[in-house]
Amino acid sequence: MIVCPNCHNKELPGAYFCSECGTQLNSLDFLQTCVINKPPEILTGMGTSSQQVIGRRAIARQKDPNISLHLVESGKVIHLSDKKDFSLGRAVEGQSLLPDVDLSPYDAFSQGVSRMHASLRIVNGDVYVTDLGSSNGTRVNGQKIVSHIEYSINHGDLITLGKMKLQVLLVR
Amino acid sequence: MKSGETWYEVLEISDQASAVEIRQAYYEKARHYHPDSNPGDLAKEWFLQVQQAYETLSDPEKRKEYDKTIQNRKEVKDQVDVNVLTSSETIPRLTETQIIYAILEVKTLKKPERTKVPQGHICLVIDRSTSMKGARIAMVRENIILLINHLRKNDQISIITFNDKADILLTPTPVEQVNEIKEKLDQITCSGSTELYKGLKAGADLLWGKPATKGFNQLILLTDGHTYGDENACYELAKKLQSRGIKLSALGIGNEWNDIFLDKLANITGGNSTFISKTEDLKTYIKDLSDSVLVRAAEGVSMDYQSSPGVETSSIFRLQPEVTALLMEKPVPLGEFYYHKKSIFLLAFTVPPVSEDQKNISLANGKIRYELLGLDKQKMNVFFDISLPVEGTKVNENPPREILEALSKISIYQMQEKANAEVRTGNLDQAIERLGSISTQLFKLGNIEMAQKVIQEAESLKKDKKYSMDGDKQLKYGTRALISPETEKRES
Repeated sequence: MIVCPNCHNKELPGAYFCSECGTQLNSLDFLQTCVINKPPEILTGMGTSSQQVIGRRAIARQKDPNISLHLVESGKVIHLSDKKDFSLGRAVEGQSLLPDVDLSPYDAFSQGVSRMHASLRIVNGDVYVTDLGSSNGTRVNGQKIVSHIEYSINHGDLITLGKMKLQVLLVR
Repeated sequence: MKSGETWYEVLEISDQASAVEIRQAYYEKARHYHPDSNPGDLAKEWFLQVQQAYETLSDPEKRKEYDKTIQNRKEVKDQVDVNVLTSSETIPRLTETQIIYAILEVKTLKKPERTKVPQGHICLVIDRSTSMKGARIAMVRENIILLINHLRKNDQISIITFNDKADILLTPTPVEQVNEIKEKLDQITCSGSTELYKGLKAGADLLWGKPATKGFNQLILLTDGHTYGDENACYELAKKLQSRGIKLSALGIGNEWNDIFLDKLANITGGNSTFISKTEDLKTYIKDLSDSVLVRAAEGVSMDYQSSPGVETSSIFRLQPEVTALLMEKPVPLGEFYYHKKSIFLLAFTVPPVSEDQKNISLANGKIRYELLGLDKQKMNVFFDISLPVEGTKVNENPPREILEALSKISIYQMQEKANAEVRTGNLDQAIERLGSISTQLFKLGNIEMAQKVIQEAESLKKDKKYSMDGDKQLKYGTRALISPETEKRES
């Protein structure tokens, strides 16, 4: 049996899409990403934005970034450090598993943040967000993400936990 | 046997057929005409013919001799070619049931000679119940004129109108007699209720009554309402149409017709149903229809096959042309083949746990039978075999792109079917949630327009506890249209 990562519906092996929610089920591990090196003369004449992207990637491979979270509504900034994996959520008394980053001082409860809502992970200098099966879901730049699947994020991206908006700042 | 038939024609195979194909065709025919299941002298005679044909053709020496004697006769060549693509090149040895998908692509081998594509006969069966009054019947009238302008001047058209009784408005008439047809169209008045069977029966009688042509015959039903109580009689009639190679296409106008019924009715003959919500839909349909008339290669197409024990077919979709979920009864009616246009089918098989000694599993081994248009309506068979070796224990995570793309869209269509069923049984919350998932998948495919339509319908369910006026049909036919590999090409 295959279990759909999105809705936990069971499918027969060999199925490629969940019949309940339509999520693609086959893993894409066989795909290999590779860096395409273009000679500089091709780059000239291209838009500046693509150059920035390439520049950012180049730095990313060198060094892990420091992550800061900018709380859009209150304007406060939380600095995360020392770890490669952070869970975000709301600490509640008597709960055995506590999130690394507790958002309850920032009105997290009324904004629909779950106790274990999402996680941020740094892999080879790139940052990924995963929704941990939260009740109200997680969005990246307004797009809802499927839970338990990693999504890559960049400097300045807006993550929404329930209704709470966090801007991710990456300092290299 | 018709006099002058060759042994190849008796077995309905090409004169290039391989020994395996000859054997397959023989078993098939022998079973069909076996005296045990067919009392009567005629069947016995046919059975003997089949025996004799096999005796000659199965022996290479005798076959060579025989081929020499029929050299001067017209050749019977395979006119279509079947290509198979499976989701995995091998079947993993699993201890649980698994799914394997296959795409069957059929293409016609010969180019059409426009002048030789024989004339055809289209019979239009038009609902003239009260609800058709005004704009609807005007739209139908206008588009019939469009159709006759597009057909070749020798093609024939006939029109039946029906409410609680059926009338022959126009006996089969060559479309070049435009004025006469227009005059008849102006005589249609709308009143009364909808009794589908009566209309269909009159149409079928008209198609059968005239001498067999070498060309195609098609029945097109236009309706905007429910029929009551005569559904089963309609299905029976559709089966008769299928047995004579006549395709029934159903067009539903507005929001009150029964899409499940019309879909099944058309599927029995290999056709499908189309949703007409505005004049443009009918225009597009008429355009596609008149284009297809010129490239029609074969009709009365059906597929029959056997699978290894335990292997079952869970669904068959036609992806192209005319996307539809096909009937799950064998032989499966497939409709028609066209020149220049591949027919593509997607089959899903469930394979039971594979035992230690199984080395090979046959998903489908069988044939597609078709009647060539033109050539005296020669019946032909083309054989296919989807068998895969058993190997490894891992499911293939990297199926061919064509299969993955088709499945991604079929899954949306099937989810929509589930949502519609949930609405019918009053399970609204589940339906709303499902529509949410559907819109997510549509956004992923980049089909923003359809995704927003789905969200609107979810809102409507939340607010009014029902779909918007024709929302269920918009979703059904909208998501179905996505499945066609052609839509993308057309858009880009």
